[in-house]
Parts: sequence; C-alpha cells; structure tokens
Amino acid sequence: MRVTARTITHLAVLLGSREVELEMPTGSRVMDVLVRMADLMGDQAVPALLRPEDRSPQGHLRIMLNGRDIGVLEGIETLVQDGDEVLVVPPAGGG
Amino acid sequence: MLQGGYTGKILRIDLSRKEAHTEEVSAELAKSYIGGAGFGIKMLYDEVPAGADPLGPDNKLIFASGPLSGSDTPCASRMAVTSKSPLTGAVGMATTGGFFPAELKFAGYDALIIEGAADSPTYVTINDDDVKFRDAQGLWGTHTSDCQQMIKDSLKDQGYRIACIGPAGENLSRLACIINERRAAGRKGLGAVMGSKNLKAIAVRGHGEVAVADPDAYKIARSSFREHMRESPVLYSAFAKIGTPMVVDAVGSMGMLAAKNWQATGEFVPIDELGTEAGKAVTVGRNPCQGCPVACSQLKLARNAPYAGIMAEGPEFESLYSLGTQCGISNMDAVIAADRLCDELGLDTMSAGVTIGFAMELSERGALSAIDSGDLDIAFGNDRTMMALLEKMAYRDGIGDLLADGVKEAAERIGGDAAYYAMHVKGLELPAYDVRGAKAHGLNYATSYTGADHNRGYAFQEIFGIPIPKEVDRFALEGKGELCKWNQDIRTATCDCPTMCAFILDMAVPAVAAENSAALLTSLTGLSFTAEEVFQVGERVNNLARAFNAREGFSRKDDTLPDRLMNEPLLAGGSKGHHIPQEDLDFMLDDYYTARGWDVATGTPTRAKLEELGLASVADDLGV
Ligand code: SF4
Repeated sequence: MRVTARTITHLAVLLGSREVELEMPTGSRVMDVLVRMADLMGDQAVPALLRPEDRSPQGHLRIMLNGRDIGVLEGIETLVQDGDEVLVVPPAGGG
Repeated sequence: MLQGGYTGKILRIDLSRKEAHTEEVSAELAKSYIGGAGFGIKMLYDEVPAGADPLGPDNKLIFASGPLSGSDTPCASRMAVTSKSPLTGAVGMATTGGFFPAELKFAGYDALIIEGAADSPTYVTINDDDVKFRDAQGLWGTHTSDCQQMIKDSLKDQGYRIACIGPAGENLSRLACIINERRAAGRKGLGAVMGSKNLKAIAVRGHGEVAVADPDAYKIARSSFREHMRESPVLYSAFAKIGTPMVVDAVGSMGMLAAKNWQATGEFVPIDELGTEAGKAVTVGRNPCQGCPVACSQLKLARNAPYAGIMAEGPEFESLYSLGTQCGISNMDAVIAADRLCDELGLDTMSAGVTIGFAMELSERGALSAIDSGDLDIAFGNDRTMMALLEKMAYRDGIGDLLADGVKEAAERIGGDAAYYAMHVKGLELPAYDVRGAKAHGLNYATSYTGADHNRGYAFQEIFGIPIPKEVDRFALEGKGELCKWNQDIRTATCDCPTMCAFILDMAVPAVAAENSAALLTSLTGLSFTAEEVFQVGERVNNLARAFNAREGFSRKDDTLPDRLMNEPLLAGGSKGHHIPQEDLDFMLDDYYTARGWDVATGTPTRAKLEELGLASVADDLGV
C-alpha cells in the first residue's frame, strides 16, 4: 500500500523533500513509517527524528495521521491504511 | 497595599478641557483585575455608556501596562489598549509590545485614560508628572515613523517612546491601528478612535523604576520562569531565530493557512516563498521588545525591484497571510513592502489584507463592475494593486473609501451576495488559521469578546499539538466548549492582564502558566495571588467584557462564523473535507455557554455566574 510521509523545515531538508510517497506492507504502523523516513534521512535522522537511546520518536515532535495527533489514536502503534498520510511537525510557536 | 509592580497611579487625560490629573489604583482593583486588559475592560465597562458612538467624545481610550511591565521579568513590556471598537461596536482590546509599555511605568503610571476630544490636532507629552497638550498641526498627515522622529527631535530627547496614528487613523478608517515604535495595537480600529479625538500621538518619558515588594521571593519566581524558558524545546532553539514565520510551515502543512479569501486553503500554500527558509533569507536584524532575551522580532529587507530597499519589522505570520496568501501573493518582497506601508499609514495589516482579498474575489466574480476602481486590475496575485489599495484605503480615495471600514461595512454597501464573501466575525476580519481544521480555535473566533481574534483564546493544543490541559483531536467537536473557555481565561489571566508576551507563556510555561504568574505577581506586588485566583481574574474579565457586549445588544446570534466556513468543506490539504456546519457550531456553542455558566439560549452571563465572580452589580445592569 502507499502512504504519504510529510514533514517541514529542517526535517524536510534531511528528507530531501517535504513529501515522499512510501510503499509500505499491509499491517504497517505509524512507527514503521517513521523508521522508513529515518532511513531516507540518513545519519542525522538520529537524533533529529528518533531518540538515540531507543530509536523511538523524539518526544517534542508532533506526529499526525491524516491530520490527527497520534496521541488521540493508538500512538505509534496506530495501523496505517492505503492512502494515509503521516505528518511530522517539529515544535513551533508564536503567530 | 500596593508595594511593588504597580505605580499606583492612573493618569486621566481630558482632551476637551486640556486637563490631566492622577487617580489612585486601589488594592481591590489590582486584586480583582490585575492590570492591562483587566483594567481597560473594567474602566470601559464603568465609564463608556451603552450606545456611545465609538468615534464620538463619549468613547474612551485606555492604555494599561500590567504590574509586570517595566520590571525585570523577561518579556513583560506589553500593554493593552482598550476602547469601544468602531469596527465591531464591541469591546476593542488590542495588545502591543515594544518599549512604550515599560516607559509608561517608568513615568509613574499603570494606565492612561484618554477622554473627550481635542478641537484641533493635538499630541500629549508625558515626562514623569509633567503632562503637556501640544499642537499637532505640523504632524498631521505624517507617516508613523516620521511622526515619532519629529516629536523626538522637537522635544530634543530621543528617549521618548511614542504611540501615534498615521493617515489611516486621521481619516477615521475603522481598520486604523496605533503604532508605537514599529509595533502595533493593531486590530479593531483603535487608531480611528485616536483620530476621532484629534489625538495624533502620545509621547512618554519616564525616569522612575518598578519597585519589588519581596525581592527574595521575586528572584526565585523570576529564575524559575527563566529556567522554563531555557528548557523550552522551541523558544531559543528555533523561535528566537525564525520568529512567527515558522508558523507558515507548521500551519501550512496542516492545511490551515487560509488563502485567496478562504477559497484556496490547502491549495495555495507557498511555504517555499513565504515560510521559514524564505524568511531567513531576507532577515537582516532583530528588534526585541524591552527586556526580552528572545528577540523574535525580525527586520526584513526587500532586495528586488520594485520593492528593493524597503525594510519592515516583520512581516509576522499573520501579515504573511493577510498581505500574502489571502491576496494570492507569494512574493516575499511585496509582503515586506506592504507590511511597512501599513505600519507607515497606520493600517492594521490583518484587516486591511483580508479586505483587499475580499475585493479581489468580488472583482473576479464581477461583483465590483459597478464600482469605479480606476485603472486598477483587482485580481488575486496582483501585488501592485494591493499596494495601491492600501494607500487608497488610508486616504479614503475612490474605491479605498469603500474598503476603508472593513469587509462587513463594504459588503453592506456593495449589496447582493457580497456578505457571503466577507470573512469576519462581529465585523473583525478573520486571522490566518483556517479553523475548519481546528474547531476550538474556530469556536474562539465565534465567541471572543473582540470578534474573530486568534489572540484572545489561542488553541495551542490544536495549532501546535501542545497537550495541555490535554491532548485533543483538532477535528473533533466534543469538549471544545470547555477547552475554548480555558484558553480564553488562561490567556487573559496570564498574558493580557499581568502583562506578558503570549508567545513566551505558550512556549515556556504552558503547563504552569497560572502558577508562574501567581508567583511573579505575588512577590512583585505584595498582594497575594494563588494560581486559582489568577485564573479566576481571566474568567472575571471575560465575563465583564461579555457583559459590556450584551449591554450593546450582542448575544448568541452574533457568535457565528462566515457562511463559507459553515458551507464549504476544505477542498485540499491536510484538513481536506472539514468544515463547521451550523449544527456543529451550535453543538460547540451549547457546550461553551454551559462551561461558562451562561444562559444557553442567549449566551448572556447568568446572575449566579456573575455573583460568583463578584459582579453582582453587573447582573443588576443586565437585568439577569
Ligand atoms: S518574544 Fe518577540 S514579541 Fe515577545 S517580547 Fe520578545 S521580541 Fe517581543
């Protein structure tokens, strides 16, 4: 299935784009998408995206599935479906 | 007893009589309203009678810096400017930063109340207790930066801090703002109130300082605040370097950066042209507010023709929307130039840009064909037209006169179905966040006492994912009434009253904002504030503001959103498919009024709630 992974600012620079299409196996979770994003980001994915200790997502990042924060879903264990979109937003403020 | 924080004095300035005198700040006023917007709204409620003409001599203009302002608490040089808004007819309260708010305290005043009207152009100078009324004939017509410089030169003192209006305020545009340095008490037409009083400027110079009641406790409170600031994952690491333009990327990626008069949100998303990286490329310096170690404010320079050489303090996120995406413009230099032009003319960048985007849509739909727009090509993306319209609005020239009072008034004059395309609530033009993707933020647009105002109840849970008081689903309706109330009360209590920069509170102490304010206020002022009491001041002020509006005839019927947001789901982007139909808004309003303890049918505060807040006499006034 196809999943769109999106991010912004310095994470987009690491990813090489603000948006990439990923081919994911059925049954993938949000965490699997993040791992694929990290693979594309190269060496700096840790610590920009993942924590060095356990390669879990950095706590300050906002992660959304189809626009919803994964905290109101099943967290990084949330299953993704064909056509879903995962968005990772670094902390922001102001405005 | 007021031992610190407060100067203890209010300066009342009567422009009709050219007289000024001081009045005392009572401990009771301080405890119940803290300062800033609290003082402003209390004075407005008590002194401006129902039905007063916002541009008549009965209206008042109140400048109030909070007790923290002028102290060495970081990021506290903020001030609330309060009046009856000529744009909305409701409470008009806008905050500003810079140096003026602290200088007012150094001069010895917690607040200025401006009343009456001068019979000819006047400016007022305040040098500690020396108050003078001066002839402003020679300043009338000046741009705001020239005006400020001319006053400093003529007073032979470059240390004056000046709040003034530009041509837009003189010409009573209801989109006129008040400019101090390069900052604005921007929204709700407060500059027109100043213009209606023939008051070009107020210049303040102070030589005192803000006393501290309990220096040891204050030091601990201040250190704790600074520690929270240092620990923020975003404040110094990113926000200090990028400022509010970072929100273009965040909100744009979520499909909530409104565009082309809210037709093209999620579709026209020029992050590369107007976002973080584009902003960095044109930044040439920073200009912090007094006592701010963060210095988010960026000086940006246009380098390409025809705007090369124009510099602005900004554009901030909201102006990147209003003068950018809202008008279909992605040329950063044009937005810089328009931002600077608005500051010079004394026009609110937000309302002015939204009004121009509205005209662009109407023009493209052929609805302006009967209106003489000269040789202007009024179409999305045309930045030269935007620049020309800003000038025309400030001077009420030709079609500018039609647009100078905002979209609600213009739509009424144009007639037909123009009102459908007028993006406002209660007459105040919409901020940048397309709230079809953030329901509590939308509910705040609908219910804020100033009209569609992102600053009065900012839903940082939805916009930035800050899970305080809890994590929320930005698309969900459930629980948004209670959340909106919380956001409005905490923002009022910890930012608008004490006074403090909202950016810092949201980024540094979102989980302990009331506790942080209570510790600072208690140690600084010598009055005792618990976190609960601080929070309750926010609730009291929101109720009193609501009561002012109720007295003016506002009720549930006015807590609404533009038809487009209720009828048209977003077509593209990260919030695609979402909108806020009337039944969803009604669901949230019921929830909100219930959380507030207000009458659900009318949206008016109940006697029980008002009495709980010590506002029994207000219940009598309202007859509830
Ligand atoms: S963070 Fe920005 S707006 Fe806030 S006080 Fe500092 S410079 Fe002013």
